Amino acid sequence: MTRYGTAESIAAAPTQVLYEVDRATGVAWITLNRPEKHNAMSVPMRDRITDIIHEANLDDDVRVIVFRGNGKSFCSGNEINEEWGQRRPHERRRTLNVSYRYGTDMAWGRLGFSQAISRSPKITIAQIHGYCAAAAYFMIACKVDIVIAADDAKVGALEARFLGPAGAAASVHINRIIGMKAARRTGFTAMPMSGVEAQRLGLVHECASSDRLADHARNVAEEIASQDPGALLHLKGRIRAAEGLMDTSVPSVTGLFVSHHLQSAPDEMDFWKAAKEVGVGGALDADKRRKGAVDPRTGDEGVVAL
Amino acid sequence: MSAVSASFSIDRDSHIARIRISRPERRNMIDIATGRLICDFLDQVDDDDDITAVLLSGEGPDLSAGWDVADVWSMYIDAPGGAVKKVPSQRARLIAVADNWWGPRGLYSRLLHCRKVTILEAQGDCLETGLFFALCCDLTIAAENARFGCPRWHTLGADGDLSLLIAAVGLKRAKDLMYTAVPWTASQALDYGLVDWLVPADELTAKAVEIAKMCASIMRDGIVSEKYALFASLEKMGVGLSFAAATIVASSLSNIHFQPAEFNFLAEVKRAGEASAVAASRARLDQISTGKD
Amino acid sequence: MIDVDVSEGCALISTADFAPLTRHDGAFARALAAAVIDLSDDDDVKVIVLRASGPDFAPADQGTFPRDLRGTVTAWGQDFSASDAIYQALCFSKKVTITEVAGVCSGAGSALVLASDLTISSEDAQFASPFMCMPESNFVLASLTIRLNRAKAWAVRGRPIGAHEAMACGLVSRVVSRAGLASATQAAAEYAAAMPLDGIVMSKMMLQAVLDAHGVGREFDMANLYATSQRAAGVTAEEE
Repeated sequence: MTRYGTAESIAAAPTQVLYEVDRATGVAWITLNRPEKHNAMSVPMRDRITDIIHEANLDDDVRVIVFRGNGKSFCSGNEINEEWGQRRPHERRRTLNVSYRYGTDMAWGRLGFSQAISRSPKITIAQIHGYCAAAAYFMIACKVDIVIAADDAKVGALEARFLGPAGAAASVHINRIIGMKAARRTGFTAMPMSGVEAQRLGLVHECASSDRLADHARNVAEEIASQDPGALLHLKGRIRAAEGLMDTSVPSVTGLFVSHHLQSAPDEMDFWKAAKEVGVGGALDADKRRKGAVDPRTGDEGVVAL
Repeated sequence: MSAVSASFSIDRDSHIARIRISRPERRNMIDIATGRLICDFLDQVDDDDDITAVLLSGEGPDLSAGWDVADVWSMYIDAPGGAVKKVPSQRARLIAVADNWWGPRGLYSRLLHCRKVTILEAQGDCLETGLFFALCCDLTIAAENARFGCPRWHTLGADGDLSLLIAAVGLKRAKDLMYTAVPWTASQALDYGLVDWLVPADELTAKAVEIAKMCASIMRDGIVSEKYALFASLEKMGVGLSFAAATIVASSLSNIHFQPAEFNFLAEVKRAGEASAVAASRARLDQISTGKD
Repeated sequence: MIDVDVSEGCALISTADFAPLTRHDGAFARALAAAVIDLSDDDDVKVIVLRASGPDFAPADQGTFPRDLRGTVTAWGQDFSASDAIYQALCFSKKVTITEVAGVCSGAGSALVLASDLTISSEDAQFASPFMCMPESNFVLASLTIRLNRAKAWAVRGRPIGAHEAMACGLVSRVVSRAGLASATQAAAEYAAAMPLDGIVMSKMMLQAVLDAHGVGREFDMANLYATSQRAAGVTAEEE
């Protein structure tokens, strides 16, 4: 299968997504390791996640797969403004073919990494702290079976204000996880949920304080992994079948609505243009200063560094 | 018919449109004419690129106490095939229910499929129509005195869409509302996921405007494309099927027969008037302990 | 084995407990299903209550693997997952169905709770996930009732949910003391029975449309496949 990315980003991916299997306990660990970017996921990083899950699926020793992140945050989402091998840079916003590849094949669709997570026959867990934003929210946290979160984690479609909600309100999965009204709220306001709030809504299974999070997630993972492997496969298989019957997948057309296809109106900030001129961080600051903009993250020390 | 049953305004500076139901003397019950006005305004708002959010509210202490049954009969008679015989035909009942409430041109479907972010200010009685407003709008801000439910379900049976309620609050809670008909307090509605924010009554409008501005700061392309993605996902969640079923079931409402010992709400309306029938129904229910505190 | 008492529109089905269903006792399952189907078709009945006269609604039963399954899956399916078997009979009943739960509620107990309209629970009730050992239990109902991730965690972690937590996540409708259980059930039943019969039927028509759309019926239809998968996975009871 074609692998997209620059020579540099492809070469970096193995160190940015770490994989280890604890064969004594049956727990596989996928660790996002790009702390300087809040673990923002490049296209090659997402491909690597897909590859690792396929490997874990075939590994009889693995019963549980845990996602976690090094550094201040679990993950701030997909890397934006990325060169990933488009024929010409502007193609990312112009051609249907490239948008569908990026939004559907690489993300929401049946070949995308989010579906590799949701279709794994193993039990999947996400261990969340700091920011869990954008794609990390709706393509990892909302796809795994069990989420363990820090009390003060910041979870949600935080990028929606300047890039559009991109499926956060529309995802059937999210509607089934946090309820139909909360899905619309998180998508249309871009407000973050704390870990505690996400637990109240049903996304998060259990919360822990930041310093206890790693131990707690490990305990949960090892407890589940200690069950009979055949029984776990059966249980996950029937849960997956029921999800298929309920139809929890995202409407595939949503892939078209990834931010690259959207345009800003004259009175709205052109995020892409600003990012080109002053960098992503500068564009985020500019977004906060906009007329009429109400920042839902007021009180936070900073914004998510995508 | 009062001259003004709802008022409409557009604030281009803040990109917010407003709908205010103003039939406080009828506790903002929605009659056919008011429903039409709201749909017409939503048509206008949907075509206005300056607007990103719509605020829906009610004048007086209540958002809406339900569907105004006063014009139920004329709704049937006025529909195609409604006046051919003495009793409205089944097709007339279907068409009336579809065109006014559950069909693609009906009030609920129209509100649910608005292309802008829809925000509800809920206070006092949010019964039946008020409950469905909360389910069809994207965001709901409730005053502490708001209560949500559909007491009519207990008198006549549940006849409206249940898919949105179940998707918002869960299956057993929805059934609790169906078979015990005790309205939920605002704080219960918040717990269950029907309501997004709870504020004191005097802060309701300010909070709604703050939220509307927050939504209005999202790029228009993002809002409208997400709404269309949402419409696709509502179909996947069976909401279209449920609305179609609600049209069929609700059109059979007037076909309901009562057993000899049952409280015949419809006959009581005919005999003693609507207010008296509602009072008799309530008094009867109050005699039965609900097991709730 | 099963007692049925009808009074003022409320039908009470009582038995010592519902563990025989967890054990896949075919005769018990057929008798219970027949009672629910007959009452659902009885014009004098508006509400059906399921009650255990013993201390626990459905005590844990170690021998949970469907024994008949080692022989023919189809015979097991006829008794436990078919459209006229107990769970579908309850889920698609034309009446308001109420489960009254005290103490341990495992296996079939939780499957009955998911299939009923209202659940009145005692404070000490504990609800265990039915999904590992009960192919006929309905995960779609669990997802619609307590939301998808809670249902997954319930199934995967194998930990029972206490009554108050069950109330908080929408699995039960009321939590009362054990002493107040029967009267709370009676009150809920009387309240529902005050609805017109036609109105209850109408509400069930609407409900059916939603359950159909969400795949509740399709999930019931998968039970034989889940049973086969469970057998292949070796999730079995101790040999007797």
